[in-house]
Amino acid sequence: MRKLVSNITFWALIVMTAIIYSCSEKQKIEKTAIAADAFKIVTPIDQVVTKNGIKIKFQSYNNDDFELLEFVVSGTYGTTVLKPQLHQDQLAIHIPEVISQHSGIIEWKLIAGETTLERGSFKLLPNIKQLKTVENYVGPRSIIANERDYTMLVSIPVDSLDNMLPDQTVVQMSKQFKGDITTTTKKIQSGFAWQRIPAPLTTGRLITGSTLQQISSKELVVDIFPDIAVPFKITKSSNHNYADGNEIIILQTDQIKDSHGNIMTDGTLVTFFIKDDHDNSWQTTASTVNGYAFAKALHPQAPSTWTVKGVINGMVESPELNITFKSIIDEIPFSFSENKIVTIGPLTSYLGQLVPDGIPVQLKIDGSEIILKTHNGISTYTFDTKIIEPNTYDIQIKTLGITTTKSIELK
Amino acid sequence: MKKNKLLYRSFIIIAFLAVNAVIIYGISQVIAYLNTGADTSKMLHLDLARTDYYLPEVAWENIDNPGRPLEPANQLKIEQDYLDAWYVKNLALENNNNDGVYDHYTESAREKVNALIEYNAAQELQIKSTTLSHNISLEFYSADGTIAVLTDRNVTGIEKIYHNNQFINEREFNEDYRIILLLEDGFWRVRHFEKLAINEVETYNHTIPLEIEMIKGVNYYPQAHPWDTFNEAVDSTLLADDFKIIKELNLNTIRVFVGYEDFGKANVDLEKLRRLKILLDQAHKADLKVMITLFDFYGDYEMKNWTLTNKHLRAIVNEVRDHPAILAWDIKNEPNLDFENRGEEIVLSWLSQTIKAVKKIDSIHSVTIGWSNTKSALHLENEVDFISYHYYEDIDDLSASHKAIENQTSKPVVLQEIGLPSYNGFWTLDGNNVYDQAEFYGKLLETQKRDSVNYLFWTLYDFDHIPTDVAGSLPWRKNKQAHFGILNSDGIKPAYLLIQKD
Repeated sequence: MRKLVSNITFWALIVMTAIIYSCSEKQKIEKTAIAADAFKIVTPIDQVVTKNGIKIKFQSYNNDDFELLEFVVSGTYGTTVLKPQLHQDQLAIHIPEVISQHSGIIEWKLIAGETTLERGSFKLLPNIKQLKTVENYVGPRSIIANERDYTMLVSIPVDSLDNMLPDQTVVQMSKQFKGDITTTTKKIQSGFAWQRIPAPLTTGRLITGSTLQQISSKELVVDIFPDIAVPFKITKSSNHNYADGNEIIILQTDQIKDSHGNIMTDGTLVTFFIKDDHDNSWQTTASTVNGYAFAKALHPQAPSTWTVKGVINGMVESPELNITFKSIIDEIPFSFSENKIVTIGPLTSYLGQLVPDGIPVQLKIDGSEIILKTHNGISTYTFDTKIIEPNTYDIQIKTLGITTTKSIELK
Repeated sequence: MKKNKLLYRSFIIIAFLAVNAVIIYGISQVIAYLNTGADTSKMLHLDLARTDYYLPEVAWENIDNPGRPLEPANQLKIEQDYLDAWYVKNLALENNNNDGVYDHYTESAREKVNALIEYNAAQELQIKSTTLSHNISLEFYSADGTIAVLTDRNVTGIEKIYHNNQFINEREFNEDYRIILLLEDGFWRVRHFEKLAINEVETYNHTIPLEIEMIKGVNYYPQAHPWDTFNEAVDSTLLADDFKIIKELNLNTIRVFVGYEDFGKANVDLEKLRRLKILLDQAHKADLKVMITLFDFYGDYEMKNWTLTNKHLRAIVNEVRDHPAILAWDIKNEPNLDFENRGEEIVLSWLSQTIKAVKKIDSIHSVTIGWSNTKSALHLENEVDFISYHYYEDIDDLSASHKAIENQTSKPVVLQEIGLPSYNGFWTLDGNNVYDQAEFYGKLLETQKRDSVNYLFWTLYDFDHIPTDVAGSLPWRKNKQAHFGILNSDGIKPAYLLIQKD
């Protein structure tokens, strides 16, 4: 008997649970099934962006079910979901500033669960009465003074809430170069206005700016650099033209300019390529100051002729310049003493002064070569008969570009 | 006593070894840690290879502009950075954090994105979103290459709104945008964004009829390469031989499976595509129609990867859609099995968008989904062109089950998989032998004829090797899966003769 009772209780419990459960299910379904015309909002119209949000009122609503409503609103930067609020017996939706301050199309949808009650869209327009800044961009920031090159000025004005302004809004775009001020009127298209600024033909700094109503942009500057140089001449200057291995010759350019007479930027590198008549070649470089470049080179020790050319790499080169260096002596003074000591010198220069120390003197004897250096104009060599057999030899002496042969007898 | 001593001794030795092992492991971890860190070769960002994470369909409608010609390298860079801007915004709104926003939005634009993220985070809203196609026109590119103004028309995509991870609403969109990008720190960053217009979302309501009167077919894998039809060893001769066998059974259709990873995921392997075409050519020669099941072994349905699956899909469908052998596209095999792990709503929305992606590029061939049972068969009934389901229950109930589905839809119903393994070995208690299988096919064919059922049986061959990722490594599953064929390596099974007679 007891078993039966407990059995019945058990089943009753199950049945009741089931009933309660199904009731709650039913309630849920009833709640989401809102009549399509139960709620109607005052359809928002196109309007200007605002940072105060947008309030949307209801034309008709009922106080019971409004908590099931959701307002899905999707602007330029994304979507959010809003809940209607009942405030002082007035049901309204408040679109927050994160949506209302960005211009563009706003799409909205009033839903209750899976039912869409109303949907629509409206436009948020930029606020042309309250502007914030004119953002200017200019580039390239450095251009060349010629007929081909140009820079570009782009203006993106924005309203106080950082929205692009509508097409056809007028922007004044200005530039100033060496006192000349030019202002052009441009219309905004796709959010920006732009202007191509051709390069002036003289070097300097070009200053740009834009204004829209009373709002101005920052100043932006473009540097104008000289064009490619035109061919230039080179000259030399030196105290004398003797090949003394001591004097310094200065190679210099005339003022290097472009075709419009603009002086090359300081620091333009000029390379002087030097070649002599013995097929030796070398180079020296100098950078320009005020268009001039100076380079220095040491005179040769032997008479020779140089061919010099100035080159600005990749741009231009000068005509060739020939420089001839004369020998400082006609013959080599030579003496031989004590049957073993050879003395060469004193070697003297063009004034009769002694040549600098360290001028090389080359001796050739019996196929072997000895290099000596001058000291006080003289170089000597003592033959050691233990090494070289006593005999009569022809000795060849070569210095300062002169060669002579003497006969000596070693004992 | 002696035993104890031995025990202690061995315990001490083992403990000693263990302590040493732990110390050596510890030291090696410290050394490994000290060796990680700044790698000088990474300083220049030279080895940052892009991975596939966001590949919506992008068409450049126009790059002519009054500012400056757009070089291909810069075009690519603008496209990538612009798409990344969408991607990071999508992720930011989904996770309500601003990771990556810094890199892709300028200071003023960043504020706007961050403000919305903060607002949504406070409301506990999560918005999953992805774009699927972009049509970009370059309006302006400045002379110094630092400003680009784009108009992006018909940006299509989908957005799903969740509140506290509870799904609220879904929004499909097709919108036009204007974007001003600035080149900053080597990134093209969004300076301005403006939604210009909302366009009609394209819908595909037209149902494409099945172009075959009665499907009689087989789910096909080559005998030596089950679940690997596009293996390089499967050549045209092998396919021709198999298709000849199928044709001689008076069948008219085969169903083949294109693996998502097997075909190279987002970047489809051209060699695999070539083999797919060879298969279609051979099927056409044998007068067989082919139902292609896409996305086999694909299991991630997350919205952030939809652009990748769509790219995969476009590559395959665009390549073979004009082939005369194609009968239909089967979006996915048995996706209802993923409902539990991945979430029914997530799986269904992926299927739904993938159907649209197919219909966008192929308006001739019908589309279906191969549901694994009769219960799931009517999911997305509105969107598919015909209903497909698989039946592995009692054969005696087939007729009733099939009719039940037919009564609920006006669209054709296809029994896409049915079969019985003839396996009665060590691992089964009441397995079936080849005669049970023949009896099963007898009943099947009888029902099929009486009720005019479109059907494809599973499968042609018994397989010697079942890949582990198909049936797992448990032998009773594997062995069952291996004996579904009507032919085995020894020759024909009795069921074969029945079908042949039919």
